[in-house]
Amino acid sequence: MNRHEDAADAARMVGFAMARRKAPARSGEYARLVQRFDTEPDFAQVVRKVAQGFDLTVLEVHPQTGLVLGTTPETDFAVSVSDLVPQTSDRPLYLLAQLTIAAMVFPRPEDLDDDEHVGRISVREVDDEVRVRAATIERRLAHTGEDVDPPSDQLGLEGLWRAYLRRNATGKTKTQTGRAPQASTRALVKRAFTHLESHGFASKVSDEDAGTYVTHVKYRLQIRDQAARDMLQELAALGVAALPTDGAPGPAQPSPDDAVSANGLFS
Amino acid sequence: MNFDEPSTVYESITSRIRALAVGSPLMALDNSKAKKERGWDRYRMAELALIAIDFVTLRTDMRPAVRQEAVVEHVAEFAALQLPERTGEEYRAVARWVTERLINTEERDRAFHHDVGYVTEDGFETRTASFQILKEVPDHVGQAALIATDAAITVLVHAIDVDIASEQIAAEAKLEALLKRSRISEAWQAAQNAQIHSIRYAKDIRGRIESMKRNVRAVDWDTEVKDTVDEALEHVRSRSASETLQKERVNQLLEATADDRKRRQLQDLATLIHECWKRHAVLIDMLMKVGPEFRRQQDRQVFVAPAMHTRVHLHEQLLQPVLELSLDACLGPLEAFTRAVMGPVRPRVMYLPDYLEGLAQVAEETGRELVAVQDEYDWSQIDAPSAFGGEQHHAVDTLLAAITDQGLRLSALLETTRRPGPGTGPDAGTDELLTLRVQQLFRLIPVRQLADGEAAVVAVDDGTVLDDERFGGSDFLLVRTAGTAKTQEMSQPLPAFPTPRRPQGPDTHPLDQESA
Repeated sequence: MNRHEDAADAARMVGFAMARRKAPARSGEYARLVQRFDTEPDFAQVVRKVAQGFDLTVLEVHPQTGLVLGTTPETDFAVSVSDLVPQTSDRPLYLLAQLTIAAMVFPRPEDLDDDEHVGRISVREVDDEVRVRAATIERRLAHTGEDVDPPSDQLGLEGLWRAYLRRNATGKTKTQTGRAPQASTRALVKRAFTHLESHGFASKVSDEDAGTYVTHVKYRLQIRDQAARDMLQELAALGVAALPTDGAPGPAQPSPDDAVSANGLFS
Repeated sequence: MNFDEPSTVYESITSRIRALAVGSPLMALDNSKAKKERGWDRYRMAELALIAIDFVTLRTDMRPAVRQEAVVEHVAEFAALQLPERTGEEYRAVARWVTERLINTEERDRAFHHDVGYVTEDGFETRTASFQILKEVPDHVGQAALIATDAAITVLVHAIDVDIASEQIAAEAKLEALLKRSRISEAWQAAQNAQIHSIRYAKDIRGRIESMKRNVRAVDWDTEVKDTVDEALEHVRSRSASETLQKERVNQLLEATADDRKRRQLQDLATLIHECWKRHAVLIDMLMKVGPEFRRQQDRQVFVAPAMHTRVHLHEQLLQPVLELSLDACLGPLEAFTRAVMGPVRPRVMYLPDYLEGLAQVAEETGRELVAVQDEYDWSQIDAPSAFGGEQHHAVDTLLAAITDQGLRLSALLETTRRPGPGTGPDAGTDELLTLRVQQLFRLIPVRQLADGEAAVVAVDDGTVLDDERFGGSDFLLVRTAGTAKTQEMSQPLPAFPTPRRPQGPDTHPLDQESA
């Protein structure tokens, strides 16, 4: 196969990764490309370069989900948060819901490495979780006397936890006359789930507890390989989190000895 | 060792209690409070649970896992059988409840627990045995699906955990014997048992392949996999041969039997045996692939460095700190998270249906009061005076109506409008109305009238320049003309949308041929 064919194959593989509902088990062509990626380092490099051309990164190639791509700040292919939540006042609460869903699906760091992990979470559970945590912060601040209301002309200084508590869990809040009613927090959590579902990261299993969802493998990979790290870096930039300084323990690297002995089996 | 020693006796007690414990969550379903509260007392929940487990077990032989929705649909059919007078919605609710209780969604670790007594060297002690019945795992495309656990299959799908291979040979020998004596319904039962054994066999093999995929080094090819595979291949090949024999025997019986009921039973049996045979064919195929797959996985795992990622505790490192940030400060980190979770998406290419969809979409939160769409503007209700009076309109109408096929120039008509008369005159402004009407005639040729063979006035621009004190441009030639009635040439009426005329000449080629 010549270089031009390789380029076509690599672009096709990136195309598969961008399409919804495509998986190596569903398409012989995709399975062939995944195999090429695994066994031909040169081809893998071409795929990485094609992704780079779109300002995307190759996070990994997984036998079930195929090629997993990550976004860079420059890319035109990332979702726009303002498209997901047009209302600016809803945005932080919606984004908090997204993070809480992830935190509840993967309660322990090792869950992110578990190949068989399936999360099952409902809208009500997510909403309750944020409220419990926010209420804990409220009690702690009240106890230490730090709880101060934000200045009325600088509402952006209000704590995220308080903004969430202030919103009703259900129903629509009528604010001052003439203004749009605010979405309830459960409606925002629900919207977060709906977006996860439409992007192929979860599926709804029942209407119980305002909607119960199970997560797919791709959701785990996207969080493990990129989202958690990206957010941690942002927090570190704000000075509220410390990045791990040592060379990130991560999964065990194959030691050279292992490689030799496994190799020896078939030599 | 003395076989009457309490510890030896108790071993069997322990293992049987462990097995019986697997049945307890099913029995608990019928005593549950939720069942009473929802008015579901008359459903036999434990029986529905067995149906769910059987379904998942029988379905997971060909495909690695089955979707929860499929299980719910299947169980709902049997709920309907139990209480025919209820609604479909309730059946599905019951089925979903049973399925989720079997997954044990109420427990975070999804496991059932049961205390079991053991006698060890240190005496008697109680330990907690934990097990699962239905388990959620990612399927072949990475979406959540269900499998039955080994514990569930062993205890609940009435297959006792002994050597799988010999158990299956026994089951098939029994089937063969029953067939010889033409005891068809028992033979069917035996065939189904054989089927369950072959499913367990496939599951065992598949489990090994899966663990190999996860980590090649965890599986020892020489001592474990190779032997299992060879043994399994041998076993499955001999089963396939015996199934072929049984099928022949069923066919012989079919030829010899005239009784309709028996014939139907025999046909069912033949289908079942055929299914077993097909399943074994798949199994052979799978086994043949184990070796190459092992080498492939070894290439993949040994030569490809595993993806490096930071281990992050989502709760402690992300959620907790961000909650205490201000609304302004939290946006950056949270947006980074959600953008990365959603991954890349294909940008939507705008095309016409998208526009329509976009326009027709009702905004999620309207919030504002709706106002009726404005009516079509009613010109008769405006106060502004008309630019031209009725007499002027009449005068121009008469002038245009008088035009013959000889034709008249605009300049000549303009002169007429400036002669004094009703609605006309040098300063009446009727000349302006005339120019407007002529312009209209030039722009809007009455195609339909002409095509129907009626006469109509048209304005033609033949290049003559208008020489006038008030107006400039072309001195249009106005002609009354009658089109050739197309209706007489063509028997069928004109199409509503005329097709474009084809270009003529030797070098011209129609556009649509190129694009085709």
